[in-house]
Amino acid sequence: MEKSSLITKEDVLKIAALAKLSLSADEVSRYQSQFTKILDSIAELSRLNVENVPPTSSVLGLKNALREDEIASFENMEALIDNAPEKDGPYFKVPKIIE
Amino acid sequence: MKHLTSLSAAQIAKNVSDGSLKAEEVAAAHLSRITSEDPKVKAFIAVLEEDALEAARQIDSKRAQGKKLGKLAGVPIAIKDNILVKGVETTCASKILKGFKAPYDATIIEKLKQEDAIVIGKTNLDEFAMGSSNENSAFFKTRNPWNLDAVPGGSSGGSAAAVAAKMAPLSLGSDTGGSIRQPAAFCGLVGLKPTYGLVSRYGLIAFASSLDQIGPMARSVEDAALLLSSIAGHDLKDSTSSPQAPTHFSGKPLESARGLRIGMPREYFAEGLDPEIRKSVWNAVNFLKTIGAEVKDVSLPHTAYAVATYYIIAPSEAASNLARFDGVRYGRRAQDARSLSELYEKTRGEGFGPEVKRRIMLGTYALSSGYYDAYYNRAQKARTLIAQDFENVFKEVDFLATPTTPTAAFKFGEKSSDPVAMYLSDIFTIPSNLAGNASLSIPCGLTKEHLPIGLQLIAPAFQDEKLLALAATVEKAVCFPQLTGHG
Repeated sequence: MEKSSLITKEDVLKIAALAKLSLSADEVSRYQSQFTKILDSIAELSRLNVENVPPTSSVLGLKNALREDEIASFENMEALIDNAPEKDGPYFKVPKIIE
Repeated sequence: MKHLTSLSAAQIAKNVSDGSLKAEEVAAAHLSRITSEDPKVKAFIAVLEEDALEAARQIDSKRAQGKKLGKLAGVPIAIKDNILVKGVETTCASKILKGFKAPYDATIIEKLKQEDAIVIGKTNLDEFAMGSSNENSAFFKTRNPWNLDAVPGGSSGGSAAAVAAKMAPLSLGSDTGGSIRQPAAFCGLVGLKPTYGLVSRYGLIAFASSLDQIGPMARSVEDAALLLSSIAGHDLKDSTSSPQAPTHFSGKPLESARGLRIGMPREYFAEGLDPEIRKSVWNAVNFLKTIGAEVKDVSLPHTAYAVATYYIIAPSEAASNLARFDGVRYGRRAQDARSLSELYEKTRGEGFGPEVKRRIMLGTYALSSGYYDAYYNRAQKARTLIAQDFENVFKEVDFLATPTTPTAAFKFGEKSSDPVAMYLSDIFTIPSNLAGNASLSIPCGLTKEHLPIGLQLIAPAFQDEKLLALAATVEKAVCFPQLTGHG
């Protein structure tokens, strides 16, 4: 994380592909310049000495929250399926993924 | 019916319970206030007129049958539109969720209904709660009732504006980096970010799960405490909710502040702080001194790293949480996708607005191979240091007093083209989310331009009751003016 983390157009396209976001050419160039600026503004973190500091995993120090694994019924199944943009009976419909 | 909309929630609940007021009259008065005010303020995405009146009539008939009513009998509450209310469209102010009807109530909504509260509407927010001005809503901008040219703050801007403009006596917001406290400060309200784990988030659409917390927004500390008492508590459906979470809060002022130690962290009073805000905050603190509090200069040395830490952690969690919006199970789906991957990409590309995409991209970058250690892991270590700052300082003092925001409400467009400038408006609120402690904003004065100023009071985790008591003490001294009629 050095000062002036220059972000290229290719970087933006690569991140967008990882995030499954289609971006317009306009968005790509906008995010490219904004990213460089945002990353510069957070570059100060690289100057902080974090040697031997454990990363935070829970702010309250809560460990495992365990309970019995019991089956509970959800009353409103139909409403779940009704929210789908495309459905087939009680199934969500997606484009074919296996030829 | 105007006076009914000026009543406190506590007063409404008392009067509806003892039969001196009908829940239906109260609901009708607030609905009529919404009809007259909301075209200007635009706090609501949806007004649940029929549902609210029906719920009110049921409460009235419950009382007529001699049944005891709940803590929030007949109190209308506005709900931020990232919280699920069964059968009602929940949008997160995003196009991607258009048409999504909540299949169940959030735990806190169930609790509110059990206490005989009335859900009066769903309020506007920055899309997926990402923003500090409400300008990131995909639908429209909510305006600040104190000055319609100013932003109401964000992301719970609609919830703040609804209560400030007396369209509801109470509202719920969610706070990830200041999203309750900053709009509360901008709109002259009490806004509490409870201790992390105090309130269940089952049914809150997640933004950054290690930071998100739901809390009350109100015109008085007593009302905020009343709402908190109704929603706090452990929930099996939210494994991060704390088994030690208390469930009763009174919000009664202290008789004296003798023996209380208040810390003023010097990093929060550095250059760049608006002099009017500095003065108002000091006035409130000086009052606490006169009633016996000991005021100490303290230091939270890692404060300068909080915004950077937050803008790695929050987007990383958001990138992961928002992966579920893919056009398969809910919301809108892009047309004409030829493959599953294209379906995801097009749906998300078309459905998310610019700030949401920016944060998903930032988080994806921080978590990607080769950058994880430099960004995400380093930020989680910095977070430990920031939390330790609070632990250390709370050995010396009981509370911290700071400004809630570096400036009062800014104008529309002032920061919307510069993400970094917008991010800095949360500089004083972010550290409490990173550390998980209890933190609230209470109005402590007005600027020359007649805009509210917020005092932020911070307490250690699970000291929410004491924090509310201190706030109530300040409230009594400040006598902050209620907003009466506006243009």
